[in-house]
This record gives sequence, structure tokens and C-alpha cells, in this order.
Amino acid sequence: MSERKRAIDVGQGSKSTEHELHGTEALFRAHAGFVASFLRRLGVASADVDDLTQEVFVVAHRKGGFIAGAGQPKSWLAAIAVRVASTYRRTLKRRREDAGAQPDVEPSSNVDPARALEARRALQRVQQALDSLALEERATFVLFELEGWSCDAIAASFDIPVGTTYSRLHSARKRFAEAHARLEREDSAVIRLRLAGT
Amino acid sequence: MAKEPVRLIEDRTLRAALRSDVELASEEHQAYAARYDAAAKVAALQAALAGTLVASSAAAQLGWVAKTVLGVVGASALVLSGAGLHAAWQTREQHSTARPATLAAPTPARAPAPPSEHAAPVATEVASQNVSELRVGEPSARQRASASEARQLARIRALLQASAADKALRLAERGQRELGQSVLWQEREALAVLALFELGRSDDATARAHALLDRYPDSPFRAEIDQRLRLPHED
Repeated sequence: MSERKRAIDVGQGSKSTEHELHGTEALFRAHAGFVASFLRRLGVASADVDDLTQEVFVVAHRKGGFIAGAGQPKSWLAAIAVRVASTYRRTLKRRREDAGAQPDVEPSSNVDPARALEARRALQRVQQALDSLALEERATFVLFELEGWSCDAIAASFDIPVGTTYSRLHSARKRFAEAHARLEREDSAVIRLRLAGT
Repeated sequence: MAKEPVRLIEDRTLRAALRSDVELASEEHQAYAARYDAAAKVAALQAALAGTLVASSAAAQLGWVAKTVLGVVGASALVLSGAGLHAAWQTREQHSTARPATLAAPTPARAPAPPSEHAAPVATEVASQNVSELRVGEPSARQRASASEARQLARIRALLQASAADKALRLAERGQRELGQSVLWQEREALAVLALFELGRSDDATARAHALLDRYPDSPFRAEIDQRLRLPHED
């Protein structure tokens, strides 16, 4: 069932009751972390992650909430998150407020400063390489490579043939690897220059 | 049927640097999701949901022309409309008190998004939904109660953070008595448990902690309460 059809069915057949509110809150408690992390990888700045995460669940609520049996809640939320991120990215592009901003992804633990710096740079390379992908490719890449989803699950989430998922993934990986190699070369060049200067 | 591709981190034909960077990113990605403090942000979500209910009602009253306009200009127009203004006030007011409320949250709980361009899809959805069953005009009693409950929770957290555990406990106990099994019961009980630990009332704290974790084994407070349970008792 398409998203729109499903939303219409839900809207006609249900009441906006306390039960729905509780349902959305339970969904939020269970999956807000996934949505927040996914949005961040889709290019949402850390400062906006909470707002956009909330927006995903508000949209989910407006659609009548998740219905058991209609796939997995994470799949459904991922599809909403991609649309919310898409609007956000267009808005950001217009505003140009974050133009040139570095992706603010941080390593989860800092033990040795040198290793932490290395880890931070590695995460930045990944985020910048992701920035080179179109949103659909990026979402597919993140769900497959970072979340560990199967191509079937991704296809079901976005209501597309699994062949299209393979195609998106193939294209995403190619672009990602090219961008990553370029960034790595740039990093190496910077390190060489620094060493030469000391 | 096509074969599932090999994941990058398992593909030995690729550069080791690429694989290790992706592996690190995957670990960091999962860790971020795990430590995201959803419980601390539930109050903000409630206010946003309450706001959209009221805003939806306003859209229904404004009719088709207004809906079209709302779809174009987005959430800001909703907020400028009468009932929307009330909803926005309620939302802001609720979050200004809910915000200080983090106990070891990775990022501070943030106020709901102010009306912005990227909120437009929600407004469009709001305007296009079947809103006949939504309440019209004033916020409902439940919405007002939710706001009040969220404010109380924020106050309890603030008291705990200010080392006023006795006051925090009194307020939490009052909330449990007066509100019973409400939406934020779990959060209030967890804060009461933490306050009891702070006050050195370890027996009470331990008993209520176990009861809470039995009922909510996946509680976002689990790690913090488990940690307190492992510490030596002070009484």
C-alpha cells in the first residue's frame, strides 16, 4: 500500500485519540535514537538533529501512527526521515547558513589525543564522502553499510524494487569510494606538507 | 534472484583504509543511536503533537483557501493564525521549562523547532489531513495536563541537578500520587529512585529500582539505575 493511500485510510478510519498519542510516544522512545543517527548521516547538522527527529515523529503521528503488520517501524520511519531530510537539505541550500561547514560527527570515545584526532578525521572522511552522494543513494548506503540492513528491507522501506536498491547501492559505493580515495589523498598531502614544514 | 552484495567492511578486495573508516563510522553510528536520550525529549514531542492538533483544527476552520495558503507558506502561517498562536505559545512555554532536564543526556534536550521553512511539510500535511475529528479551538484538558506534567518533570530534574534531592523526591512523590499512571510515570519514578539514592535511602531506592526495571526492562534510565545499584550502600 502506498504511503498516501495508507495515510488516507488511516485518517478516515481512526480517531486522534490518547491511544494514538501514546503510540507515537512509544514509537519515539523505541526508535528516536535510530532516527536521530540516520538523520545525522543524511547530512543533518547536529544542532538540528533533535528538531528534525521530532519532526519525523510528528509526521508519523499525522499519518496515523505505525500500524503493526505494515512492515517494520524502522523501515517506515526511515522513509519519513528521508523525506524530512530532503526538505531540510533544500532549505539549507537556500539559506546557505551551513555553507562550508564541516560535518560534526564525533568519535564516541577519546582516549589518546592522536588516535582521537585520527578517528575524528576518519569520521569526517566518511561524512564528506557521503556528502558526495544523492540523497536516495546516501540513504541506501547508510542503511546497508552502517545499519546492516538487507537490500530487501531497504527496498520494502522505500517501496521500490530490490533491483533498484542494488543499483543505488552499486552507484553509491562507487561514488563513495572515489570520494573517500580523494579525501585520503588530500589528507596525506596535508600531512606531508606539515612534516616538511617542521 | 541477485545475490546480496558483500558489505564494504567485509570486502577484502577494497583498500584497508576505506574499510576501517567505514567500520569506525558504523560503530560510531550505532553508539550515537544507543546513547540518544529519547526519554529526555518525550516532553518536547508531546508539546509538538499537542500543537499540531490545535493547528490542525485552525486549518480546518480556515477552509480550503486558507489550506492552500498554508501549504505554500508553511508553519509560520499556522502560528500566526489565532489557534495556532495559542498552540505555539503553549509549545514554547512548555519547552522553556522542560529544557534544563537532562541527567547525563548526550546532547541537551532542545526546544521544538520554531516555525521554519523546513517545517513546511508538516504544515502541508496538517492542512491536507482529514481534520474533522480533531478538537477545535482551545487546547484540550489533556494537552494542558501534558504541559503541566512536563513542567513538573523538568522541575524535578532541575532540583536533582541542583542537589536538592529531598525537594525533588517530594515533588516526584506528589506527581505519582496526583497523576498516577500518566504518560511520564516512568520518568517520574526513575527520578524518584535516583533521588532516594541521593538521599542515602538505599533500601527504598533498591526496591523501587527493581520494580521499575522489572516493569520497564528497556528503560532509558536502566544504565544509570544499574550503576547506582552497584555502588556501596550508604545507609
